[in-house]
Amino acid sequence: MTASGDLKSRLVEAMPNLRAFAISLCGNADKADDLVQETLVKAWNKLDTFEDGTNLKAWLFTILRNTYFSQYRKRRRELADTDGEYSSRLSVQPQQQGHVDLQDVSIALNELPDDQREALLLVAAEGFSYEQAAEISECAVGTIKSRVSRARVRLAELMQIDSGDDFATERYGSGVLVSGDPVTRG
Amino acid sequence: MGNQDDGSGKPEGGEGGRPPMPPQAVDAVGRRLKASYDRMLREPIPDKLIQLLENLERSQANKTHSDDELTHSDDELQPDTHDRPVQREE
Repeated sequence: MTASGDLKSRLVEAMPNLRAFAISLCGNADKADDLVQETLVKAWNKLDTFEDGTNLKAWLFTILRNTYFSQYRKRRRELADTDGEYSSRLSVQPQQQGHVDLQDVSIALNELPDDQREALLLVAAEGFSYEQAAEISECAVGTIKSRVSRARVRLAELMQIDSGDDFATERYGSGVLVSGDPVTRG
Repeated sequence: MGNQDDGSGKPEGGEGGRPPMPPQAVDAVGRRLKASYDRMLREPIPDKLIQLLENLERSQANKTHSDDELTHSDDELQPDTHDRPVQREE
C-alpha cells in the first residue's frame, strides 16, 4: 500500500460524514467518536479488501454501521430502558413549541427504531441512493424505501410538525421539497 | 395516553383519530434533518481522530519503509494488527 498518503486524505475527507453519521446513530458525540475511531482502525487494517474505484465512503459507512449494530446498539438499548420518561416528555412537548430548533431533530431521531434511523440518515441526510443504502445496510432496496418513508412520517409525528405554529410557514411557505427519490451520486 | 403509538412503526398517522401526516410536514422534517446533519458536517474533526489517522499511517510507513528507525514512539492508538512487530530487512 504505497498510496497511503492519498488514501489518508480521502479518509480525512470522509471523516466529517462518518462522524455525523455516527453521532446521529449513537445519539452521543463521545460514543460516536469511539465508533469512528474503531471504524477507522478496522478500515485501515483491511484496506486490501477495498476495491479501488468503488465508493470509499460507502465502504466506510458499511464498516461503521456493522460495528454499531454488533457492538454499540446493545449499550444504547441498556440506556434506553431508563429513557421512558424522556419520550413521554417528547410527546407532550409543551413550551418548547415556540422554539423548536435543529436540536429537536436529533432528539426526535433518537426515538426512531435503529433500522429506520439508519435508513433515513443514509438516504435523506447523507444522500446515498436507495440502492447504495441497501448495500450498506445489507438489505433489499424495497426495505430501505419503506424504512425511509416510515421514518419520515414518524419523525414528523414526533416533532408534531403538522400542528406546530412554527411550521405553518415552513409547511406552506416553501416550494422546495427534499422528499422523493434522492439523486444518485457517483 | 391510550392513543399514543410509540414505537409501533406504523407508517401512516391517523392513529386514534390523529390525521395522517401531510406530505408537507414530512418534507419539512427532511429539510430539518438535512440542515442539522449539514451543520454537523461542518464541525471540526476532533484532534484525536486526526491523530489516530496519523498513527495508523505511521505504522503503515514502518511496515513498508522499514529503514525509517525514527518512528516507534506511539503505542497509544496503534491498530490491533496481528502483524504488529515491524519486520526489519536484514
